Amino acid sequence: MNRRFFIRRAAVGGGLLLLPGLATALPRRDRRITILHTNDWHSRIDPFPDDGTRNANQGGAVRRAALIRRIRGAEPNVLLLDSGDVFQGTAYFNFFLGELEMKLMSQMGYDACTIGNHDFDGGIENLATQLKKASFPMLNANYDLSGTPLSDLVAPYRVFDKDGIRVGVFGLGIELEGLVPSELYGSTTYQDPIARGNETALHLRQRLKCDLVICLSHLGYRYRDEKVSDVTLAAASRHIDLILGGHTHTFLDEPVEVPNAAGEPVVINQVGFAGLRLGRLDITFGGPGDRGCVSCSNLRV
Amino acid sequence: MNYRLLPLAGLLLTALACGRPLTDPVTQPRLYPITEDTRVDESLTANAAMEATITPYREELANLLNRVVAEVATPLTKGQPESSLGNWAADLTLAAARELFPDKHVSFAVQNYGGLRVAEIGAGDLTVSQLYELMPFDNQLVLVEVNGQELLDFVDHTLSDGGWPVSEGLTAVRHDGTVTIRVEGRPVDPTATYYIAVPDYVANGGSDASMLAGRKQYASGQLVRDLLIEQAGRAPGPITVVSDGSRIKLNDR
Repeated sequence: MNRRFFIRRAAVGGGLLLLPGLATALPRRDRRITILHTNDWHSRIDPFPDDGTRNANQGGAVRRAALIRRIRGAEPNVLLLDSGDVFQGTAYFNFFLGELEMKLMSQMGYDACTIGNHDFDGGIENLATQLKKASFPMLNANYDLSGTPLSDLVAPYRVFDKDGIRVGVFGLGIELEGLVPSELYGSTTYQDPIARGNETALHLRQRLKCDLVICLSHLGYRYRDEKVSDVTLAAASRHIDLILGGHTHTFLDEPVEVPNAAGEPVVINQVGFAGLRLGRLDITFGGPGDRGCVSCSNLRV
Repeated sequence: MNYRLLPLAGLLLTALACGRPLTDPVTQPRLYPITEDTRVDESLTANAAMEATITPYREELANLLNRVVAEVATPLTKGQPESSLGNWAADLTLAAARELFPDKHVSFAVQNYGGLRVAEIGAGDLTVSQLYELMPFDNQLVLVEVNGQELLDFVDHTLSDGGWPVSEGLTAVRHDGTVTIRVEGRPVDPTATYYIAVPDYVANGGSDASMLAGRKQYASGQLVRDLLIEQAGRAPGPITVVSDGSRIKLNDR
């Protein structure tokens, strides 16, 4: 399959948002999926307090749920994903240890998430306890979790079938040493995200015949030094189509394209933090040989 | 905005982006009204279900979190190399440490930059909830015993990271790579012993402060957040903090 993408148009929604496309109807029925994503929610259950600061009254789980519900009402194939750091940031986490976050994400119909460094903040046992309350899987392909409470709860990847479109989703996490106290992540061991990412993406593409390969990354968008990031991962990859990132709380106004090892564009997106934005990518699949088009809108919540 | 022109723009963009004729599969144009307040035009049932999930949790915390601790006169903002929010949090940490360790001379306090989790605290009532959001981590305050050289290495690390929040008692200037550090107005003696107050996360080497890991620690048994709540509540009047760059200066070309 030809998996070249281009970004058609991006906008931070406010007021009316127009999804791009041609005014004239096409004779052929194109299959389409809509990917919605968040990152670094950080337990922001309620909108920001009404204190006159920049984000006052914005965000909040109820508003996000309303937005997601509306898009589901209009689109046939929606995949809802999160790139980690769901936990830690408001007193809801200090007192309820992530239980409410898991319940709300289940209610919103999340399809998958990945592990952020702060998801270990209540300890690895607590993460396991809370995950059991979730109706969606947590994915990670570069932490060796064998012998930890997460070993049976976290899978490297999951394949979703949406209207015949096979979407492979996998997760990558950041180096924990020096970032998270070791007693919190226990015997979890970090493996090279580029090696494990390429291996997993290849498996999804060739063995499992995925039309679209998505990496949920908590590596961070980009660094000044050579630390591995979404940008370095994209450049070193061959079979990843989309990287939905997190960790650096980067508000991208629109997704970024980075050429992979074969010179084909990889699309990277990240939507800040705290549930202030909902990322949206619409991807169409035509007949064989047709390229998929990505149009993106990072919506204000 | 003229929406009729947008398909045309889309066409143009398609042609430019792909370098291919206009035969690509495309989505139908569709308008989504994204209003400022997404609650207004959503069906009540969806909101009711979400609200019903949240309400018991919110109510359980309401009494604790909505308590007003102090009044903020001028917004406190977070920034590097130093900032009003950073100076305020570090000064409160130092005040708490001096009370908790009366028999030690605490030179200064440091918070890691990433440990302050809000960009700004607005003017008006300061609630317990906002201090949880400022400092959500359950880190304890500890004193670390270091020699002067270790102190210099640690401060150097905070400068390399763009400048961390520091209390009164410490000044650090980096001018074209040359760092000048003074503690309580005096140069640092590399062999002397100093006590500095930091969250245990930092004392244990977090945020790459590996030079502190393994040094002698004195535990306070108190959470940094709880100490901030207590100290903030003792403000004699509405809080105004001046950050004039006199603590941390980075003058690199």
